[in-house]
Amino acid sequence: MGTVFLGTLRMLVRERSLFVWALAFPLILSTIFMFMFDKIDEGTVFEPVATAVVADEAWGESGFSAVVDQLSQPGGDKLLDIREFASGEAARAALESGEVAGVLRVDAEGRPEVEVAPAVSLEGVAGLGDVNRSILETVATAYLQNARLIADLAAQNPLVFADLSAVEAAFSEEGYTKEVSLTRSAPRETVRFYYALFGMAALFGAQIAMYAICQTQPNLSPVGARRALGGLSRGRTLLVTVAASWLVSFACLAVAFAYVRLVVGVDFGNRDGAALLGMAAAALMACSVGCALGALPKVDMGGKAGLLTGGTCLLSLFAGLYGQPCMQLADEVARNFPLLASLNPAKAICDMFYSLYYYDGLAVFGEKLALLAATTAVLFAVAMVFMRRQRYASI
Amino acid sequence: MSAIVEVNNLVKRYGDVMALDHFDLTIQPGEVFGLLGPNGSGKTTAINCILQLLTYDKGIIQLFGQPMTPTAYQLKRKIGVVPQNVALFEELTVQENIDFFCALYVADRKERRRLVEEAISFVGLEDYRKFRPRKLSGGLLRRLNIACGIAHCPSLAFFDEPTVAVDPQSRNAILEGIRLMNERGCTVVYTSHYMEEVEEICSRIMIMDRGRAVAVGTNAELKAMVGTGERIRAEVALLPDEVRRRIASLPHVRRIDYDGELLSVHCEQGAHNVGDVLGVLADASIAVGRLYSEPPTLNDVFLEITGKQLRD
Repeated sequence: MGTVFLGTLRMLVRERSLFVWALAFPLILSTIFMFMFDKIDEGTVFEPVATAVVADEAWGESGFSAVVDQLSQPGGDKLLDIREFASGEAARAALESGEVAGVLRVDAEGRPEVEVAPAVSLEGVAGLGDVNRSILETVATAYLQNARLIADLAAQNPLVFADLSAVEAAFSEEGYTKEVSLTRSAPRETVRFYYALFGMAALFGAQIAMYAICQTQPNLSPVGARRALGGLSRGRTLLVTVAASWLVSFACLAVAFAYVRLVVGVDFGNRDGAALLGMAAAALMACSVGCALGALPKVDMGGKAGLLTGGTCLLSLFAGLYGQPCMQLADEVARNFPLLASLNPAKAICDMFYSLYYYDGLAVFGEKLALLAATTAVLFAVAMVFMRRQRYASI
Repeated sequence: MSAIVEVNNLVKRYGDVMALDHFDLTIQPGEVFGLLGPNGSGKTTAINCILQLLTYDKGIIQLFGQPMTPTAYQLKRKIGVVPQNVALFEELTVQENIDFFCALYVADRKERRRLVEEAISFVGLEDYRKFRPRKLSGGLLRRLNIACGIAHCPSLAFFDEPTVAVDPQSRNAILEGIRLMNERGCTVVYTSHYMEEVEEICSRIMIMDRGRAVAVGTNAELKAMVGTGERIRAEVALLPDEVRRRIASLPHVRRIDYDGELLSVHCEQGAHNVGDVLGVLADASIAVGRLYSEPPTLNDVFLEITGKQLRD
């Protein structure tokens, strides 16, 4: 059996056409996704706001400059990216050229002033300009409010300043809010497309098992007829074929996973081991699809390939692969017809990886894995029914 | 000794077409059994039914004295098959192909390594062991096809037209190989359209037509079954019409041809045909150059039994 397994493995590995869909396709499409989604992801990741400062004499003497300095310190909390200009005209020119999102200055009495660009996108991404303007306005407004509050306190109850730490705590927002993450990773809408891509790639990988199964069918290949005459039982032949097909399918998905994870930079919730387990399950499911299709009686190899390609494209539509409207359609179907969505292997694979990314625990991932295993078992059973005691009236 | 292949009353239909019509076959151990028949006569269908590759409507098939079933793997391990169409993995090398198919029968790796080497040398593919099938010529492919079918040293081997589209050297090598296998104890079932091959290597021959066995026997027995006798050829410089008419009217003469130099007389079975023809020529004082008497060939027998009508 070992030699037959190795022979089947060699046969599959050397049949290059199988790797077009199973390996090259996910690599190419994920690269295209990487460039397509680059700007979208930029729009959801915060970057410090490029801000011009009119660094005149009044600025140097004002308390606001100390606040701005604090907000532009390097680190994870850096809010502003400061560029200093000697005059207001130079700062405005930078604003008009789009180099900065706004201009901060202080008047003769040290009160902050904000000058922002007109209400159009500064970065070419809708909404980003509004966000940057809001940040600058909030910084200036908060400073003014706090300055006014301190001035009022100093006038009405100067003794509170005896304990500066209490004043500092009172003005800190940390006392009132607590940062809590509801998800394991910061949600990125675009990752779902990569997960849907893995659903499609796994289904295309079913070609591997389908091809291997056809090489065992007397009515589909001369080699199949020759093997049927041999002394290796049909059950063992099927076992060896599935094992070799699974290994090749899994290797393709694992390579695609490594590429998407390391080169494209898609996060799987920092659970790479579990993600690989998911890939193994997806590869096994692909084998079961390939076996069921390969064992389908009275359909030739071309017909089976057509069924697989058409089916994969259709199921990928309901996994949301083809863009935002399709993703919404897939979500709608999943909400209104959950059973139908569960029966879609492409959607099941997509959801399985998203559960790794989104949820704190692994319970949902386990559920999705079990669902995939159940689908796999049913498809293998279908293949067995077709293949068991299969004899031919003509070949 | 019990038969190694025993087929009784085998019936196989393709819709309304009767592919095997109450077909019977008995092959004894050690035979090289030839299965002859026109296209569509049921030779390959019979083999595929015997090997349980095809379903059949009726009949009993026994191999090695045991009922043959699709799951009779113990029996299958003793059988080798060289199919009519070359059946090889394009992705595997010569050696890997032979090893793969041998592994379907022989589990022991060491034993298999020896068998694969023997098979490679048996078909003379030593210089091509790392080649993929697409790099091989038609003759080499046929030889590889044979090696894959017999590497496990079967006790019973089916060769379904193994010499189609090969050159005379390869054909000779293949026939020599089959003879050698038989000498080593392998019973061979051989189908072919080439009568001279069957005549050369088969100890017993069956002629099939329309799914039935129409004649079975040794080469000599088959020739004795038909009316066709010897063909006499004589170099004759001049043959008057009168003499030609007298030869044509001899008791066992079926037909005569004369092209101005060579006289051909086609006879039925008879004891004195040559003497009778020579007697007429001597009476007419006609000088005879060289004289040949050729016994009937298997081709003559085949055409007489199956007819000369074209088949599909």
